[in-house]
Amino acid sequence: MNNTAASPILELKNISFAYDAKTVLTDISFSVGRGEYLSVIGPNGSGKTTLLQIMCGHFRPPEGGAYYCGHNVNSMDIRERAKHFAVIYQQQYGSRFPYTCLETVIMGLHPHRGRFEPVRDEALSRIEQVMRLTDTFHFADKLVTEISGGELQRVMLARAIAQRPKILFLDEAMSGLDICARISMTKILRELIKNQGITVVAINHDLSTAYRFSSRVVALCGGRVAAIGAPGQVMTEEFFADVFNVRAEIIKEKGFFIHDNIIKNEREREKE
Amino acid sequence: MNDSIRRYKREKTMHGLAGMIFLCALCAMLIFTVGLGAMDISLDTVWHILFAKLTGNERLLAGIKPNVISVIWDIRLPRIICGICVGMGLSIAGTIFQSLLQNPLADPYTLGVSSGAAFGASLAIFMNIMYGIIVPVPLLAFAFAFITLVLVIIIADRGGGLLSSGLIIAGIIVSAVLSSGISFLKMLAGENVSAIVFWLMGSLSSRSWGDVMLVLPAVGIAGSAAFLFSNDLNIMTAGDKNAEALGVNTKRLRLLYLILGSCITAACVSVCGIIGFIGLVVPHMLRFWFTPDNRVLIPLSALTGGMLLCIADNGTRLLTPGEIPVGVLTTLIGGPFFIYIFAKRQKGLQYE
Repeated sequence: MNNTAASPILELKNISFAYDAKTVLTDISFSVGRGEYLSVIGPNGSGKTTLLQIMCGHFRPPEGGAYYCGHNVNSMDIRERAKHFAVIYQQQYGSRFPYTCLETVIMGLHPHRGRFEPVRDEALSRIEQVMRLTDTFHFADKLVTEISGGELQRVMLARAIAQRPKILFLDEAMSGLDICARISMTKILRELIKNQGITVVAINHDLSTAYRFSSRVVALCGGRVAAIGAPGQVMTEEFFADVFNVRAEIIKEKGFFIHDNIIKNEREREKE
Repeated sequence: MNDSIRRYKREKTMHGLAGMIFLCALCAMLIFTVGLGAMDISLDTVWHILFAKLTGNERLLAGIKPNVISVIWDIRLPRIICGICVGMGLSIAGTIFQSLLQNPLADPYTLGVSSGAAFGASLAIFMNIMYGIIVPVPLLAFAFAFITLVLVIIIADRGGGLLSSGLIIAGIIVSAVLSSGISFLKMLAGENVSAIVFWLMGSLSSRSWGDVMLVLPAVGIAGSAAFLFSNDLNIMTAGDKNAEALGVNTKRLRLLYLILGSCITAACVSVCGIIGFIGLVVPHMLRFWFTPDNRVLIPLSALTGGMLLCIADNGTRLLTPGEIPVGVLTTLIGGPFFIYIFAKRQKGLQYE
């Protein structure tokens, strides 16, 4: 198992985590390479979201830690950290007093802005650039509650890019989007990786997107790293059977086809 | 530059302009209303007195009767300044609580701080009447308001963190308990109940410079601090997880704003009782006309609230014979206005 990336930007060392008595993660170690598109996959409850929260510094693990360029992410100042990390969540935008899309994207400047610094013209033209890149500029004046889910996620992506992060985390950010929206968003991400050297770490429930677009895949199962490596190496027939309990057929160089019979049901799993 | 960007910049300029206009209007209103009242005093005389007092140049007062000076400087001016400060404070606190709790129905009194202050004030009045123990009403009101805040925060924190729902529920519980406490005091006061009742209705009549000294620094300092961190408050409206990803320490900021909002409310309530609807309506009005951006909303609400309460108080002072308490008037006018805004449901107001 190849746990270390060529030029690591984020290193996870022996991370364990528990909510009260319930252990969620046990001894997780791997590293994320610069300019990589790393997908974290795994069944529900395997600890993906918790791991992401630890990676971006919101949770402090009792054992081990995540190190960004050698610094423990938990001891970084929260504002300083926001200059390096951006996170996009699965959105349920609940604000009662909504802003326009433009104002929302401008919020991405927050970690870089002084308390009384007005938004300068250069910054505004950068915002425009970012919004054009994400194809959100034509509805910049609409309120965030007036647009569709796919458009909202693109606005969130624009806000994240405006943050000028080194690592972009996606917490199931593409769940709930149709396949076309997913592909266009992934394409934008790949462009960012190529042109701006951003690193992307994405939690992904959509295995086919993970297979096609990620440079490496980390599979979690029961709070442990089940497999790590290039998508083609990780996602094998045995892998689908062990981790997801489904029978899959691998189509060489193309992907996989998943059959609709579940191998073991929940009760049998518990008996083991 | 594109249209959207240009519109954004134009809006920002407009907000600045609106602020200037509101500020000038407030100052003009202050000077103008000081001249109004049972004793007819010309604007020229008012100006003379204010100028002389502010510059400390007593010689300018030579030609003016001492009773005129004292009406202006000792009776009308502190009352009007008090009214403006309380209007400002309630509007700022309303904006803070609505944005922080993400609840359009939140107002300065949501967390029960006002009930605490009211209980403290009732207790002070009660002790004064029944036992002749003289405790300054604002002091006890402020103390109980602060105790209430601490209690609400502790209850909400025990119930799963300082989340909006937890805070509101804790506020309602503590409020209910204190309200029954007030009722109990009223019952015990028997025939002297009117003093408590009148205080609770919220009035600005016969406020002195001492009251100004309590409310002005509280509103000034806490209001400025609220303005200082308003960008972070904006980010908080995107939700805790998002705000943290954008570099805002949500826990610390929430606590800070709870304390700021409560301090302002406590000072306002201690000085003049419970004046309803200003803190609820003013922020909504400005969101409706301008923007939900707290950086703009906080100063504009302050100015608008100051003007509105100034108008309302002068209305009760000048137009009604028996001086209806201003709290009654604001609620009377504010209620229908709120219904109007509620029915409009436009930009910046999305009710489910």
